Amino acid sequence: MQPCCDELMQRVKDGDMLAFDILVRKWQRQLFDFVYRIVGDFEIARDVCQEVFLRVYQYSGRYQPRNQFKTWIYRIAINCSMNELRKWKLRWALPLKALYQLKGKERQIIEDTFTDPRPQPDEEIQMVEVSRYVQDALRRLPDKQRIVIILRHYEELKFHEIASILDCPLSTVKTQMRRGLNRLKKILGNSLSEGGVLNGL
Amino acid sequence: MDCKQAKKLIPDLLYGELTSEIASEAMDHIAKCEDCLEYRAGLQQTLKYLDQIEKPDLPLDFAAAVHDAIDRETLKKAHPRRRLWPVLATAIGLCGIILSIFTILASEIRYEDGALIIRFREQQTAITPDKSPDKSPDNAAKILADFREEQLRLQRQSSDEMRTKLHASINDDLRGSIIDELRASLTSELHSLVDSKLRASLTDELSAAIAELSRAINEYESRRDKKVAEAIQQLQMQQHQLLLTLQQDLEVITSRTEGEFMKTYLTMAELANQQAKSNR
Repeated sequence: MQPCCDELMQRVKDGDMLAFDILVRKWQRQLFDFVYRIVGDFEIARDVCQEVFLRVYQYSGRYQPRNQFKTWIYRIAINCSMNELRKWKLRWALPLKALYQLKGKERQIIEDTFTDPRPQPDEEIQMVEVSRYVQDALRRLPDKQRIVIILRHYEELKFHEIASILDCPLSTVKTQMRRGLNRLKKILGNSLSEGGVLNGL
Repeated sequence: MDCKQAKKLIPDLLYGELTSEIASEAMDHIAKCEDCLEYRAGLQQTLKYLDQIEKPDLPLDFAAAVHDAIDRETLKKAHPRRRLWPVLATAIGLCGIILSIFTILASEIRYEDGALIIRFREQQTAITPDKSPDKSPDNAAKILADFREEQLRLQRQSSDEMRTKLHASINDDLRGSIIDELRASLTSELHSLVDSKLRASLTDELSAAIAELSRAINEYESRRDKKVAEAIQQLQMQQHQLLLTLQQDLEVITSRTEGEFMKTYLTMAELANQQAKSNR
């Protein structure tokens, strides 16, 4: 039976590097995906993740089992990601025109994705473009809304768990979620709907 | 439930975080309200878009890179850059310069009332030029001789004063060192006295503690031995009982086996007799 994170952290506190290695390998995939969705850049996500694990190691003495390891590491990851974003000023706004200048074929591919999810051979490469497009839309959200959406939708945490990580009331989390989804719906819906700016392009 | 309340609940509904009662109420409203229906469809579509974001590959050797980063941090903390020595060297250099400046400034040369005053530490010499200068060689020699004599006198005076000061200083130093030695000797005697008294007191206390500990150990050992003996006795009785039980069982089994063997033997013997009779 695999040791749980609390047991591993206890061993890390005692200087067991093997336990730390197991912890890294257990969490590296999930953490990297999470950070990548926040910062949106591969190199920066890699550096942030390294920083997160470094802090987990350095501050292992402060870890208390009553605070779940999941909550602790997510909190560190969010702080490191925000610091990095502030440093690199990655809060970038795509010009509205670029979003709405989708050509007819690209728009059709995005629409077809939801009627027939199996990618056709010629369209696999363009699926990457769709992915980037949606990632860009996500990055346009304010940080808190983006983080809440990522934690709920991708990390599949409950709202009360997200409230615990962000150390804010449950109602705030739900409000941020609602506003974030509404905004995303507007960005993506405007680009793709027949009644939007793309009408006629 | 109105539209505002229903729309607030739709994200919770989509993620299954409503109780069945509230979920049912919300769904009832949505089913009857076109606006809410469209709103829910829009959010569902948005969530589907989010599923289109691809996951990038994990960086190569990520775990190894984390360990390298930790090793680098550990090394940095073990060998902090030594900033102390350059600062200390600079401080010493500055002190030396300041000291030299003060030493130079201790000499003073000034011109006062037609005479050149040279002052070095406590010594001062005034050189007054002759009003009616006689430039003859004899006069020049005289002036030079006077100057040399004056110089020697000043040197002698200066060295006498320095010697006196030195003696005074040595006396002071000697007096001071005698006093220090006396103090040190008294202090060390006092220390050894206090030390021996303390040791004696500690030894007594320690001896008492050791005696107490020995008593406690003896008591513990005797209790332990008694308990062990009792346990052994108990085990032996149980063993004896077990053996008796086994013996009894064995007897029962043996007698049963013998009985059955005899029965079988007799049966077979009877059969053989019958067989023999029938053959005749």
